[in-house]
Formats: sequence, structure tokens, C-alpha cells
Amino acid sequence: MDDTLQNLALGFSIALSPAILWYAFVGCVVGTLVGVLPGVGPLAGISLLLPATFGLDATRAIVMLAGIYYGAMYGGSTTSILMRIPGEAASVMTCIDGYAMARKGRAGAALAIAAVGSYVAGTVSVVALMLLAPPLASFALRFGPPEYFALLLLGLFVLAYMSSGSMLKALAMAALGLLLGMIGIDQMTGYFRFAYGVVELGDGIGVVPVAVGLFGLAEILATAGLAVPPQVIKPTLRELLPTRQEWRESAAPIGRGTVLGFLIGIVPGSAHIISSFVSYAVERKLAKRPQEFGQGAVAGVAGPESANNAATSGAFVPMLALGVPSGPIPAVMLAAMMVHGVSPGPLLIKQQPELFWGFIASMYVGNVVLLILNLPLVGVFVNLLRVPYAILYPSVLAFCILGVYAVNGSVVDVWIMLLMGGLGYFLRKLDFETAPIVLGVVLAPMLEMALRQSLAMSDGQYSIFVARPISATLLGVGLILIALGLQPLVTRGLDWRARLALAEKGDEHP
Amino acid sequence: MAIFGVCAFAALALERLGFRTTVALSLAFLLLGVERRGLIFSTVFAIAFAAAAFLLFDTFLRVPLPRGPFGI
Repeated sequence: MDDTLQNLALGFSIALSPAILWYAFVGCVVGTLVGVLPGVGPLAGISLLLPATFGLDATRAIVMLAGIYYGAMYGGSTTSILMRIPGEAASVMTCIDGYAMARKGRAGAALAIAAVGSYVAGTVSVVALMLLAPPLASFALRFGPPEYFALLLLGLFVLAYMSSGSMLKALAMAALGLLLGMIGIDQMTGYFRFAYGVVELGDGIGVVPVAVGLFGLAEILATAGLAVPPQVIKPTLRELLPTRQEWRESAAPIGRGTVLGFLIGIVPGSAHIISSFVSYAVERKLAKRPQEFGQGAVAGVAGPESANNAATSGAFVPMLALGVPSGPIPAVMLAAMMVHGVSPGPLLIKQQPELFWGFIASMYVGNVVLLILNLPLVGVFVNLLRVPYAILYPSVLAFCILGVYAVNGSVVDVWIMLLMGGLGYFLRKLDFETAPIVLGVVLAPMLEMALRQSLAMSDGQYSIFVARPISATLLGVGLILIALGLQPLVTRGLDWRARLALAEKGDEHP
Repeated sequence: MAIFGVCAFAALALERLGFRTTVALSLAFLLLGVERRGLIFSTVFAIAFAAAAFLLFDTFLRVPLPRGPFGI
């Protein structure tokens, strides 16, 4: 505990230095913009701005990217409350009651509660992250390649199990991602695989072009056709203060949302979305007057908003402690860290304490910045939405091209983005989730390395994965998840995942 | 479809025409041809956007972007 405090002091001394503070601030502002603008989710936002951080050192870059990440989570709530348009997927649940509140003239209160809830959840879950990550990392030091292999595999299974819609489809997408990740030079033998004579493919397919294509470009393709001028409800500053009763009603949901969100965030999968859905369901179950939900219940804003912010910090636990991304966004951040020469994993906390603790401390600071930024400046951000989509999307498109090109300075990456954009558009039409592809691309080299190292250790005996207790347990859990996922095929019932998918569809086309 | 075409054009032209020319042309095409905005607005916006993005990334953030013939 003493150690933690000492380290935290070190972290704050870094986070509060003017330069880092400035980058955290810039990250938060950009993140809020990304969250507010429909069509640019946090994933595309981070991938796009990755090149902008190349000139910075590792700590600054990561502080800024993290700022973008949780800034986007904040920003998303603004548009869903005021316009019933979720700026990013995790805010879908906030739309329902938030917009209902806005129509009743309580827009300001809804925004304030969302911001305070996010702030509380963000801060508390950073404390949890801080306490949990170092012990987990020292535990993971005992992991060898077989354990890593089992862990990565488990991550993919959990993702498939947690994703809304069909598990089979999600696994298929993860497999596609893994296959794409195979392209490039074989790490063990130096042999060119699937490069078809294109030298640039030797480096493999990068995460950034895939992520920007699947999320940025596909989103533009999908929405460019149906740009409907949205109705904006403008809140006045005086309305910002919630009544005392609204505070009382939102306190407990914020607490529950925080715990739920953090726990769900640690588990791999599309954490934010799931966490806000689960939190909404829980609040509705626990509410004294469930009929108020959908009509502007405060708890329906407070719970999910806290949950999705807590999930953001939760998602950093496996990323920082194990070097294993728990979803597409941490995956891109992981790639970003590698670009900056930082290799996340169990050794990160020991070897680069300034980076780890500076990062943690900057998350505290960032949450404060966001609270200050979001409440009084909501009006400014909302004005951005007045920019017609016809002007917005060509600009976003230009940024996509710029961002993807700049990572490696390679036109091949632009082509990859283009292909992925088309692919993502069609997969979306066919109700496939595209997030597992991105995760697959990131995990493929790690998974392959772990598998082949393990097999080298055991002279090609596959029994090594079951002979070691930790890896055997992890694989067992994975198998159970698959069995659970197959269960509805047998019982023919709609399980919660299918219901979730239905609910999501209903909300997206009101 | 037009968006796709623009991306393909950009990928082809990026290293031949340079960043600023490519982006300005792409934006002008999208705004004028697809969205039917005014001629003056489209031209000014396209050129300003391309110049500003180049200034921000290449000059301030030191991310190398391709320059076309005659150094533009």
C-alpha cells in the first residue's frame, strides 16, 4: 500500500507537469469531439490520431490517446441526450431515458448527471485499476508461452460469447481477423506468407488501416446516404443543476454502474456496450417504479453512463498488466504503444514505472478535465452538430486517408483501408459484427508466437497445454463458454444475446 | 460508390500529386459533384482544408506527408 502511494506520487508529479497536462487536455477535447460527432467512434478516432502522436514521446502519446478514449465516452452521452443519436455505440441506452428527460425540459439535468456519473465512475475505477494491475502483472510473470496462448484463446472466446448477435458470426469474424493477421513475414522462419509479391505486405496488415476501414470508412458509407437533419434540443445553463431528488435517485445507480462496468470492462469483449446494457437492465429491475423507464428515469441515465466509463478503465487492466487487449480499442492502443517502443506486459510496470504511474495519474486528471470541460461547454459542442453532414463526411474521409497513410507512409495501407471499408459495409448489412476482426488482426501474431514457442518447448507435443494447470484452466473456461454459446441452438430459445441484438436494432431506427 | 471512387483516386494520386493537391481535389469533387454545394464555397473549403491539415500534421506535428511536383 505504501508502495502504491509512493508510486502514485511519482505518477502525479509526471501527470501534473505542464507538458503532460496539456496533452491530456488536448486528448480530452479531441475525444469529446470524436464522441459528439456521429460517424466517428472512439476506435476510428484513436486510429486516425495515432500518427499525430508520432512526434511525441511514449508517455505523452499514451496519455493523449487515453484522453481521446475516455473523452469519447463522455462526448457520446451529449448527443444521445440532446438528439437521440448515440455518438458511439455505448451510449445507445442513454438515448432512451436521456432524450425523454430532454423532452421534458430536463436536458441540463440529464447532462449534468451523465457527466457527474461518468466522473465518479472514471475516478473510482482508476483506483481499482491501480490496485489490481500490479498484482495481476506479478502473477502473470509466471506465465509461459502455453499460458499466454490459452489466455489469448480465451479472450477470443469471451469476445465471441459476449458480442451481441450470433456467436458463430462473431467467431467467424475473429477467424477472418486471425487469417488477415497471418499475412506477412513468418516471425519464426522469415518466410514470406500470402504476400503475392507485394513487398509492403511483408510487414503484415496493420491494425490501423483495418480499424479505420472497418469503422471509419464503413460508417461513412453507411450513413452518407441517409443524412437527416437532426433536431437539437438546446439546454440553458440554468437548467444544468439537477434537483435534490434527482441527485438522490441517481446516487445508487452510479455506484452500481461503476462496479458493474469495471468488472465487465476487465473481461474481454465489447465491454462498453455490454456494460451499459447490463446496467440499464439492472436498474430497471431494481427500480421502485419500473414503468418510469423510457419516460425519463434519472437512473436510466446515471447507471449506463457510469458503467460505460468504468468499463473504459477496466479495459486497461488486462492491457497494461498482461499486454493482452480486451477489445478493439485497447488493441489499437496496444499497437500505438508498440509503435512508441513500449511493450506492454507484465514487465511494463516494473521497467517503466514513470509511464505506468504517469498514465494512471493522468487518468485522474483527465476525468477532472472532462468534468470541467463538459458541463459549461456543452453548448459549444452541440453547435458542432449544426455542421451539415455533407461537409462533415468529406472532411472525415480526408482525415481517414491522411491518418492511414501517415502511420507507415505507405499507399498500400490506403488500399487496405479501402478494401476493409467495403468489406465492413457489406458485413454490416449482413449483421456481422466487425470488432472481432480487428481483435483477430492484433492477436494473430501474439497467438502464433505463443503457440509455436510452446510447441518448441514441448517438442511438438500438444499435451503441453493441458499438462500445465493455469493454461488447462483457461482453456477449460473457454470450452465452457462455447458450450454455453451453443446451448440456444439446442434449446431453441432466444438467449440474452439475441434479445440484446433485437433491442439494439429497435433503438437504432426509432 | 462515389466515396469509394474518391478513396481509390486518393490512393493512386497521393504519392504522385502530393498530399495537398490530392485532398483538395477529392474534397472539391465530393462537395461539388456529389453534394451539390456552391462552387465558391466548395473550392475555398477544399483548398483551406487541405492546406490546414498539411500545416497541422506536416509542419507542426512533423508527420511526413508526400509533396507533389513543384513542391506543393
